[in-house]
Amino acid sequence: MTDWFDLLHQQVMIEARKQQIHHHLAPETTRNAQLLGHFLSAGIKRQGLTSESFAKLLGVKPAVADFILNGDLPEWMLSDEFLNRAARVTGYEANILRIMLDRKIIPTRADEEDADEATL
Amino acid sequence: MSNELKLAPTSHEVETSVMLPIDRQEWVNQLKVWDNRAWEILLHNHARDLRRDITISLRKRQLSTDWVDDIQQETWMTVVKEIDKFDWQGEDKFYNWLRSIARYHIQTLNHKVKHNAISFDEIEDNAVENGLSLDLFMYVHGLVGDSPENEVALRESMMALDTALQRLKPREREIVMRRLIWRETPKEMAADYGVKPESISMILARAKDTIQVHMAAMSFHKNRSKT
Repeated sequence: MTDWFDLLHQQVMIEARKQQIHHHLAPETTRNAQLLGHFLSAGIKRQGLTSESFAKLLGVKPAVADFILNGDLPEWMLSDEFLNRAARVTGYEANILRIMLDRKIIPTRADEEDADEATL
Repeated sequence: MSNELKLAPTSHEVETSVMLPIDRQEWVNQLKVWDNRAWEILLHNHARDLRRDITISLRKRQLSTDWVDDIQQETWMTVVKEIDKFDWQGEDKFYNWLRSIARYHIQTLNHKVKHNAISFDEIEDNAVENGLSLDLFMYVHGLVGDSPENEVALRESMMALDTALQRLKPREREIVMRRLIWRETPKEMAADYGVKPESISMILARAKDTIQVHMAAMSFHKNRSKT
């Protein structure tokens, strides 16, 4: 075989292996962020917010908010503190967003729920 | 095109590829899971022809053939990344698909070298099978995401879910989400909430009805706006 073919063969095999690994790992790592992004999008739409006003309320740049809403931000960059803020903005409990990202929660007890309603 | 694919030669049979019938659909399926052997067969069957076509295409556009290696590499990298979106429709169409990817990279190079800009006319100029043109254009220019149909469906489901969740109490929302995302059973959740599994089942049944009502309402509005 010729030099160009050997080089191309090597490059293609490396890339194919990369894709195999990426597709094997990707669903678990990116799907959650994507779900969260769509869910937050629905929440801000219900609240009548734009992505710019969402960014402002979260205290992040509009581009970052867009990344979050599109599910393009890696999960590890979404801190617990951020989730608390996002939950407040969209009118959800932080637990709901934590479930979406497959993070541990402390289950809400009935008496806590009643107490929350009493303070409203 | 021949009905047979060349099997990639082993190290002992350089340049003496063996002709054997292979189930094309199965071969493409193997390409889609990035099986090494399937990719070797693809390279041995098409790399040489594709390189020749790239050279001809570069000459036709008065571009230096020094670019052959770069275009060839970019083309094959795109093929590896985009293969899972390819629908098998025959050998000829498969090679056309490879060629159209190469052509996109050549056109992008041509624009960079001569105009330093990208033309959206490229999409129209290169209508090919598999609805590839627009996808590939977007891919080459970094605009691609998941399939648009999936994105729309997911977005609509989330809107319905969001609306339905608003009708529930916080603890009920949590239970619904645990069921939907974590796929936990009522029995698994009951202990966490200090209630009987039947209570969890009732919450889930009520939530399911609410979600279905909203999904149906969304689909009704969507169909009505189409007519």
